[in-house]
Amino acid sequence: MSGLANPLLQQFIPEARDLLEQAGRALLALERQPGAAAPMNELFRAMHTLKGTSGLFDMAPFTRLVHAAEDLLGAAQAGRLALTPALADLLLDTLDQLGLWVDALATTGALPADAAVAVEARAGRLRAPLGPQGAAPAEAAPDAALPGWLEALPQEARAALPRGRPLVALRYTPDEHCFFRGEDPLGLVRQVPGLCLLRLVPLAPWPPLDQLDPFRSTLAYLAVADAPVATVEELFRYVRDQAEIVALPVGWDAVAPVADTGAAETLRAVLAAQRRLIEAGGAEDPIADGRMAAARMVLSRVAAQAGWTDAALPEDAAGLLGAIAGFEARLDATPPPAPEAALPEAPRAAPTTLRVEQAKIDTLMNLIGELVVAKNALAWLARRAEQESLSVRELAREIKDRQALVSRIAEAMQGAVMAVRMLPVEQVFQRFPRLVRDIARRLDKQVELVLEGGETEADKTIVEALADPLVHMVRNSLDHGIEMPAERIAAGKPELGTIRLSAMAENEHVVIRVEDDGRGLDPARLRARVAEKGLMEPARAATLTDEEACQLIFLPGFSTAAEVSDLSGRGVGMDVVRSTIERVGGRLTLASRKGEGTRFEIILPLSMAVTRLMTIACGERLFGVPMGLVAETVRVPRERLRRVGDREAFVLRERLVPVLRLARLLDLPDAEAMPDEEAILVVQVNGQRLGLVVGAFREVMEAIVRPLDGVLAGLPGFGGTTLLGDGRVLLVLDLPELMR
Amino acid sequence: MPVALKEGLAVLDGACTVEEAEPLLQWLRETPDAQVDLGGCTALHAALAQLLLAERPRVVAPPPDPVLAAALASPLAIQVTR
Repeated sequence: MSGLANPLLQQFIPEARDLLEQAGRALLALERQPGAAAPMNELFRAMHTLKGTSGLFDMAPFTRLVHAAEDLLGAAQAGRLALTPALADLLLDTLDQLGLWVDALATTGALPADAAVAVEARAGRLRAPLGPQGAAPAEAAPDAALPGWLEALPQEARAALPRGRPLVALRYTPDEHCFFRGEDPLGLVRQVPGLCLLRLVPLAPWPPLDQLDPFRSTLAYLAVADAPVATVEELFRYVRDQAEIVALPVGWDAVAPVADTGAAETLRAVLAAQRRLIEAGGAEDPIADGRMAAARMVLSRVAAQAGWTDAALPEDAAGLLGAIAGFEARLDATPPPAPEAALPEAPRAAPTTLRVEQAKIDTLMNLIGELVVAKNALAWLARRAEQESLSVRELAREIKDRQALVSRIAEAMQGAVMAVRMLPVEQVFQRFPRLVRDIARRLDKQVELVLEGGETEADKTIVEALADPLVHMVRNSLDHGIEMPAERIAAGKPELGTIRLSAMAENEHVVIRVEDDGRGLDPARLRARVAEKGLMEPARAATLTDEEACQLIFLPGFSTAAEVSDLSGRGVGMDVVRSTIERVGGRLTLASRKGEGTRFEIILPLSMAVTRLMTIACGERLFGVPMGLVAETVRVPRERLRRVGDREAFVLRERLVPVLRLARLLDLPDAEAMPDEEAILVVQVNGQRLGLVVGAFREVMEAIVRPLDGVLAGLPGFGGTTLLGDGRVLLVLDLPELMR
Repeated sequence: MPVALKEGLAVLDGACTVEEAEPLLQWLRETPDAQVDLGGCTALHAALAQLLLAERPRVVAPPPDPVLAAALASPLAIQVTR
């Protein structure tokens, strides 16, 4: 299916995502204030709109699931049903499933193959709380109803239909004059591919033969086919008003398959009863024939019920007992239904769209106009230079003028493009209410999440890079920070813990804080832990101040939880969080007070697209270092460099700074002549102050750093490339990685 | 001739069209205990099918298409409801 080419579908995908998000938010709001009208209406409206728009596409399972959720919400809205946390879980789960399907639509243009199966169980669970009365109107809804005639089919006929596949039910009632138009309703129905059941039903009792008009159509055609709905609809497009075409989802015939162990147990009991019936009675039994006939009839029903249409039933007692044994063996062979498999993680990075204000695009358009004018002016200048009406000096001045103009436009365009790429941090924040709710529920903790400053904007790349580290930090706060309610009360704190997620713009940076009022970090335990794990000498750990001890959680290989829980312990330590943030040019700091809480602070550049780079020379080569990492540049006389073990270090303002040599890190030859003074770049990397001996410092430049791709992709130690003014390629160092 | 109307037996062969409806009805009216042979019938027009259902002559050979055969053989137990 080439659904992706459908422009309507392209519009539907972002809209569906918005609606799902809106519904999720409303649901969480509703859980906090049960019975509040505004979020309830919002939720209902979102689901209703989603149902309506999804109906435009060929994705019946999607529509069906939304419809089931809507029914449930309808009952809740009317006050017939209380929205319990369990019900909220169910609805949130449904929203997740719908979200996954939207992702699948975005990547493949179609729902996953198992959607029709998945929807059955889910819709059933959504309908269950409604009870039989609630379910009835839902079943009568046009897109969910089974045609009544299907239910009226004899059991044998239903049992003969293929199982485990979506089918199409057709009811075609041609008008009585159709033969005169050259139509052949039976021929049309028989064109349906995969036709597996056909019934011809007279619309009225047959008149006596001598009054029968052979050219009046008097039949209705009922059919079931193993074919796509679209194909059947296509066949009947000219008589669409006379044909009722209904997709039968897998498992529509709820009684037929031995779907659960409950049904299997019932069948076993029935089989055992028949065995007793057959074995009862002595040799001279006047009602033996009757008993056999009764047992045989029950057994044939069992076979039909379980879908064992191939089973033959003999007449005599021995044969029937054999058949019972055979049926029991089949029951044993039917595996109990597997517990519903966990949803696979949604594959990330379906193509994303960016919504941009019209005004920002207009600004860009104007700037392009100016750029075209400036370009034309250059052609004009070139012509004048050709005609030699300009002196070299004049020409140089003219070129400088034009250059200034182009440069102004380029800067303005850069600003305009940056503005397009700016996203509110809200984009990342909005996933947290749900995350916090789910985890808190799982841990039995009571947590309030406070979001502040979601409107703060930052570059798209930065906002996206923030997501994973933030999730990790919030999980940490929930898991390790916030105490159990009883423990909080004992500590004299309010039962309800608070996690505060805030963002604000500060000059050229965005500051994001994750604060909790939990138990905080325990410096003594941290010291003991690093010593125990062999990450640091006990003696050295003992000399750390409390504040320094808190930073120990950033050591690679550190994990405070005695047992790795499924929340925080995902094999990702705080060291990875820190390096992720540093990779996008940010900094992560931590402050914690035992018993009072913990605060993480992330400081990120507002925009990534243009990076200030310091260029440094190492031998013949030039490299770039992001200015964000550079603390200062110093020149140190050789004799002030001291050897400490196998390391070098020097004292800078009464602090010992370890020194690494860039040439060694990059496996480049050492400079031949040892200079009297070493050029040392002091950088702040991995939370540590380090000196980097380089050949020479060069200029600071602004550059657009492109990530490494192609054969260079994944090259360790380098963060990207950019072009120098003379056309050479400058490699940008990834210091956190290089100095690890 | 796709429909051969013989003494007591109608043989429907190949694609049987609406034109056969009139003669078939006439034949059914005249023939008590009529029998039909659909063994070679590949296509059966709706008009013919409804005649067979109305009169229910004995089918000595069902049509080769099992779905059609089942449709013609099934007792009309289904209530037609709107």
